[in-house]
Amino acid sequence: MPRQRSPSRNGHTAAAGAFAFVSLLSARAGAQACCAGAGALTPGRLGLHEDALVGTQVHAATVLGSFDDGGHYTGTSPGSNELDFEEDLFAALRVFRRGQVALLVPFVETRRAETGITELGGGIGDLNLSGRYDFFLAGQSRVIPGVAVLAGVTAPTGTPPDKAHKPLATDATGVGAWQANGGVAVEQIYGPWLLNVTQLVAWRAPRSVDGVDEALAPQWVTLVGGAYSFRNETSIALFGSYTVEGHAVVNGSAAPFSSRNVALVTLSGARPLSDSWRVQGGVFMNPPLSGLGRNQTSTAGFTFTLIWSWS
Amino acid sequence: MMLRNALVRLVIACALGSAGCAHAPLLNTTVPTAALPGTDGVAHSIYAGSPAGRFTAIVFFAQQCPCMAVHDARLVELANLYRQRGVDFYVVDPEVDASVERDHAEASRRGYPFPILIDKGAALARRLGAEYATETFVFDREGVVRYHGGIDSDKKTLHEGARPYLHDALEDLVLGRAPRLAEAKTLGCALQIW
Repeated sequence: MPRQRSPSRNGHTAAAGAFAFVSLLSARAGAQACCAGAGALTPGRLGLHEDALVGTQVHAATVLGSFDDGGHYTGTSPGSNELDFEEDLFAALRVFRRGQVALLVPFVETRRAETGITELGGGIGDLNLSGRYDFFLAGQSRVIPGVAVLAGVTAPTGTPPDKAHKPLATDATGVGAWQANGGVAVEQIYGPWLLNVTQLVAWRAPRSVDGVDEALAPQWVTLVGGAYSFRNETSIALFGSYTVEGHAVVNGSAAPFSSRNVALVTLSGARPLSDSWRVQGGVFMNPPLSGLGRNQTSTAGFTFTLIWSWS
Repeated sequence: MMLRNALVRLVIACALGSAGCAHAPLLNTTVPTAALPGTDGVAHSIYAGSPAGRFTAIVFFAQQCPCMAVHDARLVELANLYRQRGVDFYVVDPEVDASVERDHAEASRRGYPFPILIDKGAALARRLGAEYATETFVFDREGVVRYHGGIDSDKKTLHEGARPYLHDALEDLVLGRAPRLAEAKTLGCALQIW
């Protein structure tokens, strides 16, 4: 499910989804939904027959530039740079035959250099608890695709930007508000190909910052991707996502020029090491092209994930 | 039209409690005889007419399932071992693209000493609530399900220490005992049956 932290961390959620997607596909070699489902938006999605899993995921990204409120992209100015890191611990448990829950604990670090100051900060991010129920599995029918509903809640366990103490706010690790997430994933298998379309929405609870009431607008994420599985069960996936968020509300009024949107492209690969172990990794980028973002940074980075599951 | 037909089938499947929806366990219940065409050119009646004391084991099959493929050798070994001890083995293909012609070639390529039976319309799979490749049912001569589950505890990689669910169940049955584990987990691909 989507997890929003500081504004610069705008790609990790969808990237994680893509990595999970390709990981699950890797269990297939043909037109069967083998040992997997497919399509996922938490890195810890259980595959078919898996009862539980634990895993860790590492992200590293660099900020390339930013989009202004008109969507114009500008590269990072000389002397400024930012590196974002995140290490996630996650676990998932099957609670129904087709239902599962997952818990994700992120640790977030930021290294930011600006106007002669270089700063490193971080800490625990916002915890995410999510659930997924697959009504139909991809590949079970030629006509009807796999359909799953997704839901989750993100707790403001991280440090929001307004509570950061460091001058460059590198110790900001969260959004600062409770978030509720919901979505629908549709996926289908065509031979070695797996296609997925996922729509998510995140609602963020209002909160008060220094006497000012503010509420972020609902965030909509559309994720579209495809993956290909080779006979040796290595798989690759290409995903694109677009995140849209309306104007925030401050003291009951919409704050002009505060809406945000950003695109993300992810290329990932996965390889099962055994029936229990799998690794996955890939690269992601918010394309630094004007018109593909608004009030967001553009980042590029990589992710590596290691998962141990029980069947 | 295809979508509507599939939805109707799905609703019916759910209403009947078969594959695609939760289904009631069939263990120790009697299942009606099913007659299925085989890749050997013969129509086989599952379990009916078996001589006294014989059992029938059917394993659901999916052509492109890697979990199925890695279990081929173990399945052939079990069939050869227990054929002489009173167990008839069959593999049943309930998938939408199953055909005698295609599966005849598959049976030859895989070296199966038993025919693949074509379950047109997945009628038998639906009746049994079978959802996964390698899912196995063992019937006695009255058609009572005596074992339901996977071939063993392996999925796509074979291990020496795998728990041999089907072997143990057959061993107990041919010795006149109740299976020590009558129901086990199946680790195979989802069958494409509608």
